[in-house]
Order: sequence, then structure tokens, then C-alpha cells
Amino acid sequence: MCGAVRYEAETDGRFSVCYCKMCQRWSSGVFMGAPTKGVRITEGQDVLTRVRTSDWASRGFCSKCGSNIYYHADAQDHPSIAFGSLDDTSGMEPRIQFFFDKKPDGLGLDRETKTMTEAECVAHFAS
Amino acid sequence: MNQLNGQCLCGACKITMTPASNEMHICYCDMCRAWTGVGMMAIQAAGDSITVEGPVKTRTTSEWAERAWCDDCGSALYYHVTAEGPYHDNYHVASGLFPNAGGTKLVGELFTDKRPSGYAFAGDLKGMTEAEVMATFGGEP
Repeated sequence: MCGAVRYEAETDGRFSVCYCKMCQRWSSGVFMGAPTKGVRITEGQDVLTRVRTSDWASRGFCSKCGSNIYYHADAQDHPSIAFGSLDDTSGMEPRIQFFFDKKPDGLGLDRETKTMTEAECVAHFAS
Repeated sequence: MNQLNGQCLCGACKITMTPASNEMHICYCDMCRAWTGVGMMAIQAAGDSITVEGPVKTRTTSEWAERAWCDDCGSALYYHVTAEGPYHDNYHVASGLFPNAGGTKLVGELFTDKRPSGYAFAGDLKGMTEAEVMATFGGEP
């Protein structure tokens, strides 16, 4: 948001949506992350704060403005970039919704995607 | 409306507020999208009902407002109108801080022309483009 952190990332044109309690709290209601094949921080590495937020993942945010930058599960080779921070999101579509049973009642996407419940996510990612 | 009790991801910041209504709005302006990775999904606080504690950091992000987040975990907390005028001191609080988004329902979108093209939120949502927001609220977001 403030411009201190800039990065280059290679995505596959899709993003994931997560409604887990942590993502809801972090990103004002839902987290949308684009998995990448690599992220290069080109500016602001020194103000990018990385915190371990669960048994299986860490998150990165800008210490100057709080902007959510990435989510990085231990199982991922590379972080997922906070989708809305990308300069160009044209053509990118949602691929999957995680913790779908935890989605707030008052919002939802306009289309169906592959979904996983909390139990399915925990079984898959905590192993 | 009943008071809502919420917290950030790490629990260090705690917020209570009474919602002005059960409506949630999302703003897709460049700043809000970069802030949360999706947009700012917010509930307006009634009057001065908001209480905040914890390692809150704020940043003046425009002539209109400051934005706040948790210094420990980066959770988005609120958008606070600082400009003089009819919206002065309004707090728009991140809905995700509260269980089930405080029971609110997404009803409207701001800066609809800035929403990424590949998806949309469901519902009969009221929308305002960037130009309409500027005309209504004046100044920069």
C-alpha cells in the first residue's frame, strides 16, 4: 500500500481463497492468495516482516503500512502472494476455496469452485 | 445492535464496537486492495463505540484517512476518517476481526471499476465506481 515493498512473482493465473479464522482476521474477512513459482523481493526486504502464524505456515507483511504480502505454508516451495497486491490481475480466476465451511454467512463468491472444508484442509496440510 | 468483540490474527489487538448497521462493504481502491490482498471488507462503527487495545500502528494514507494494523501480525484493523466534514471520525472496521464477520452481510462495493476482473462476490450488491465515490465523498481515498 505504501510502496515500500515491491516484488516480482510468477503465478499460474489462478488464486486460492481461504476463509479460515486466521485469514479472516488477517485480511478483513477472506484471504486471496496466488500461488507462485517464485517470488523475488525487489525493494523493501528490510521492512518486510515475516511471522510464523500457525503450525504449518508463515505470513509476510509490510511493517510500514501493514499490507499483507504473502502466505507461505511449510509445504510450499514458494509463497502465495496476496492477490490484490499484484499490479496486474487480469485473467486470473479463483481455483479453490479453503475452509469453506468457515466462510462468513454474509459473503460468498458468485461462482462455484473446488472447495475443502476445515477438516479436509487440516488433514491435508497438517500432515 | 449488539456489541461485537474481535481480535487480530495473533490476538494482541482487541477491538470492540457496536455496528452502525448489519451491512458490510468492500472497497477495491488501489490502497485497500494492496492492504489486504482482496480489498477492505468493513463494518462501520456506530458513533464513538469503538475501543481498541494492543500494538496498533496507524499510517496517514491520504488526506481523508488513516489506516491501522497490528504491529505484531499485520492484520488490517480499521480505516479512520480524519478529514473534517460529515464523515469525520468514522471508523470502518475490518469485518474479519469478528466471528462470522459480526453477523453482517456484504451489501455494497466501492471502486467497482478497480475490482479484479476474474471473480465477483455474490449478491445484489450496490456499487460505486471510483468517480462516483469521489463525487460523493470528495477528495482522495
